[in-house]
Parts: sequence; C-alpha cells; structure tokens
Amino acid sequence: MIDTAERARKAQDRSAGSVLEASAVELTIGDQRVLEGVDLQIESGEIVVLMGPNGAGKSVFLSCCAGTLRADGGEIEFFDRYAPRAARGLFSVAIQGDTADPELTGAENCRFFEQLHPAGTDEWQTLAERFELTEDMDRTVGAYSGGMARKVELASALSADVPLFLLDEPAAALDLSMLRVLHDELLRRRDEEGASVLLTSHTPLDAQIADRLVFLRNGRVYADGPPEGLLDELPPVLRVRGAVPDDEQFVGNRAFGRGDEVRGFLEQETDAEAIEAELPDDALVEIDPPSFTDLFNYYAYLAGEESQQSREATTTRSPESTDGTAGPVGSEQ
Amino acid sequence: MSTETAAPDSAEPPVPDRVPWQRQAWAFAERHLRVLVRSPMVLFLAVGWPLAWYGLTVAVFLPGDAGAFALGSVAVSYAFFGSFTVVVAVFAGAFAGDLDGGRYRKFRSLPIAPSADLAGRFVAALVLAVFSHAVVLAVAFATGARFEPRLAAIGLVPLTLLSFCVVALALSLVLGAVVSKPEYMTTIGIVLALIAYYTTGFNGTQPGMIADDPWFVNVLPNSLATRQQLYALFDGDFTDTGVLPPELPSGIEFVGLTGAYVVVGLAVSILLVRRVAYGGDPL
Repeated sequence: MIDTAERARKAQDRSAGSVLEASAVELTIGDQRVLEGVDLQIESGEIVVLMGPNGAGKSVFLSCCAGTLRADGGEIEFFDRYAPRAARGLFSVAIQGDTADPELTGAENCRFFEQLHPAGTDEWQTLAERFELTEDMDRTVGAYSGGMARKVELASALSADVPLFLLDEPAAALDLSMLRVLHDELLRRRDEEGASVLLTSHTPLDAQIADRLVFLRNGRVYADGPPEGLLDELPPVLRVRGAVPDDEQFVGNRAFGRGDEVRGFLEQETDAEAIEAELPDDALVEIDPPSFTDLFNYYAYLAGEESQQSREATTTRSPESTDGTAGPVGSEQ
Repeated sequence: MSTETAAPDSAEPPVPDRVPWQRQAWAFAERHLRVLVRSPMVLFLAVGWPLAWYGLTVAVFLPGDAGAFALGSVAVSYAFFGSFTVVVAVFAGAFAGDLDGGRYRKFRSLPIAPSADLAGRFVAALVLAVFSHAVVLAVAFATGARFEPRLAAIGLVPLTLLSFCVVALALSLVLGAVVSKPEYMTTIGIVLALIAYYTTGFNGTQPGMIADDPWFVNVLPNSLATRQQLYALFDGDFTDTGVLPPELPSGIEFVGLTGAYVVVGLAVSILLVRRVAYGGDPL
C-alpha cells in the first residue's frame, strides 16, 4: 500500500503540466475512416470523459493513446515528451473485452497484472473490497458474471500507481452503486494523488465526475468543454408529458423518450408555444433545464445533424438564420 | 508494495520504468503453471492419455514375453507422444485464447518484452512436457521396462526434450495464430500428435512399418528426438528390434540438427509473438 505522505508527494509532483496531447489523430481501419483528425489535451489532475454514440471512435482513439493501435496520422504525446509506447509505464489501461484470464481466480489475475506493470501495487485488494468482490476473489473468473469480471479488471487497472488512467467504458456492466464506487475512486485519485483520467463512455452519469467533456462522433470532436459550459450552450429543452409531439418540430427532426416523457431541443424557446398549441390541453409542455442525458443526446446524435441543417438553411434562407451553435470543433461556422 | 514510478522533480516529466525481464517472464510462467495444475484435462492429456496408449500397445501388440528393451522403447515413443500432445493442445489453446479474448490488447498497453512472454510460456510448456515424459518412463520402468543409459544420455535426454518442446511450442503458436478458436485446440493437438506418431512409424521406433525408405525418421523432429533418446537410454544391440534401419542418429551431425530445430523453433516463436501478438514491438 502507498502511505499518505507518499500520495501527497506524488500529488505535488503531478501538480502541473500537460499529461496527454493528441493532435490531428487519424486512423483508417479497412476502408472505414474511424478517426478524422482528433485533437485532445489532458492536463494534470483532470478527469476528461470522452463521450459519443456506439461507433463514434472513442475506444479506437483510446487504443491509439494506449499504444495498442497505431494511428495513421497526427501525433500523440505524453508529458510533452513520450510517444504512447514509450509512456506505457506511466499510465494504466482498462480496455473492453475479456482481459481477465477466465482460468485464474480474481486475485491471481490482479497479481499477474501487478507483476507486469512497473507501477503495479497490491492496492487491488482494497479496491476489490470496495467493489464488494472480496469473497469472490478466490473463485476463477470464468465463473464470474460480466459485471464481476469487469470489476476485477478495473481493480487491477486502478491499483497501478500512475499519473494517468485510460479507461474504456469502465461503467459498462456496472450497477449504479458500483458506478458510484468507481466515480468516488476516480475522484479520490484526482484529488489526493493528482492523477489524470481519460475515460470513454456513453453513460451520461459519467459526466458527473468530468472536469471536461469531449464529444466524439464519426471520428471527429464535436464539443470540448466543462460540463456546465456545454450545458449552458445547449438549445432550450422542451419536455412533453401526456402526448407525443411531431419529431419534425425539434432540432434534427428528433425527440428522445425518457420514461413517460418526450424531450427535444428547440431552435428557440418561443417554438414551445407552437408545439403546445398542436397538443391536447391536458398534455404537459414545458421548457426544462437540460440534464446530462440531454447533453449526451444533443452532442451524440444531433450536433452534426443540426450543423447540416444549418448549412442547408444558409443556402435557402438569409445568412442571419444560422446561429452556428454546433458543429465539429474547428470547422468553419 | 510501493513503486518506483515517480517524477524526480515537479518541473520534470515523470520517467517511465520497465519491469525487469525476469519478473515478467516469471509472471507468465506462473500464470500458465497455475492454470495447468488445476485442469483435469491437462492432467489427462499429460499422464492418462500416453499411459493409456502405452498400456494398450503392450497388451495388444507385444507378446507376453516381450523383453524389457521392447517395453522401454515403446515407453520412450509414447513419452514423446504424450509431451507433444499436451504441449500443442494446451499452449495452442492458451495462445489462441489470449488473442481471441482480447488479452493481447491489454498486454500491448503494458511495457512487456515479448520475449519475456514467450519465455514464460516456454518454461511452463517445458515443465509440463518433462512431467509427462518422466511419468510415462517411470510407470513403464515400474511395470517391467528397463533402461541402460549411455554416458551421452546426460546431454542427449535434456537436449531432445528441449528441442521437442521448442518445436511443439512453435507449432502451438502457429496453430493459435491461424485457428483463432481455443475450443478446437485439444482436438487439433491430439489429431496432429497421432498423425505425427503414425506417419513416422511410432515416432521412429518402428520404421519398418513405412513402405518406402524410412530415412526421414532420422530427420523429422519427433522421430529424430525419439530415436536419439532410444540411443541414449539403451546401451545395447538394436538388431532385430524393429528400430533399424536406418542406423540410430548417434553422430554429432544429428545433435547439430536437433540444435537447428531449437533455433528455428525459437525464431518462429519469437516472430509470431512479436508480430502477431505484440504488433511489431521490439523484443
């Protein structure tokens, strides 16, 4: 275990500077262009959540950072100095897939990876306890559920004493209480040890711990900023309960179901009145503060669509009608 | 356990450490050995399978008054047969499982020397092969077989086992890379072992079974190793035993050929682990 003084010293050592800088990263797999010039920076002590829908390129980008895939173009540099493969002793990675050996016990798996990582520690024992796995650590992983195997992989990855964690969909297969444990652990690493985290996710709950959110879609970064800032930039969110409005009245011609309500984005707040007028009187129609789920839906599914719509509108209407609220970062808007 | 990874000064970037090669190699060896010792299938393939064939052969094909030499030569052939089967079946499955299950994506994110991975696998495979080999010979000895080792056995027995193990491991890595389904590997390993065994006249112990000139039994790695070990373990006359012709590979040139198999097997293994598993990482 690492004592408190050691943690404090490491936190101080890690208190400043760039941890990861990726610029114009490109990758084509087969005939599909998966990454199209991705830029991303992570500063020391920062938790960055890379979000996007399935197939956005999140895991591929993380694999490029982790050195398990080689990018076709662009540059990835750690600590202003190291290429991914040279920096492997400075980060710890949890990737998707069956990385734990099903024929070893949970404890044996963690010990195996502890031996392989230059910064491996036995802190996986404490993490296993927090993940409520202690009683199962002597069973072979082949007998685990998907969630239990995932917790072993996370306990192993998070036990390394490194300044950077690269976590691919860590929330996948975790229940809500374990997701909270994971979030607490990541926040503790940031606050007490000055560690940085890059995690990919399509779980809006992960946005809660982010210092910065980066949205990736079709291999391009569409938004990058602190969660509060991105929430502030969202178009007005309309909540409808008790009726189903026409999708075409929303940004991107799309509304999103959430429980017993439908939510969609409006070009402007006054559009709500027109929608309300078309719905039954007993329907609840109101502007609602945006949630992280709204944020995810907007940038994961609509940002590019709206951009396309806006570009089309530019050619058919007056230039003033385009507000340029969204589009690929760095694109001409 | 505290670690060595740290920034020496807050103004300087941290310096990545590497795990000592020996620690990595041992981690891989320990991992495979742990899996081996708790697998009933491995125990069966290493011990039950060759001993069952040995028992059947003695009961069905050898006369009741078969001499100690006959029993011993059959034991040597099945000792190699068992080692080959278990190494190919187990390690092809393990390699394919690592490739198929995504573990190599995790390994590639760690500063692992591919040669340490290979060395760990090889140590575990060698332990398994030696165990299987020794058990068959010991059981045969306990049930009537006799050996009269020459002085050369001190060098030849380990060398033949080593070369055989390297060749079997290289073959298992090729299979693991080509056939990405670990669940097929036990069957494939057994079938390959049987083919090698029969097409070389019981691993070269009965070359008279082969219709044409059986010169190749002194060349192919399975029969060469078996025949070299026969020569090493029996200091006697092989006339009328079915082992000849050709003459047993007793010359230094055959030792060189065995060494060449070790070199080629290691080269193939290193290439596969480095290129296929670690995507071009330096050793």
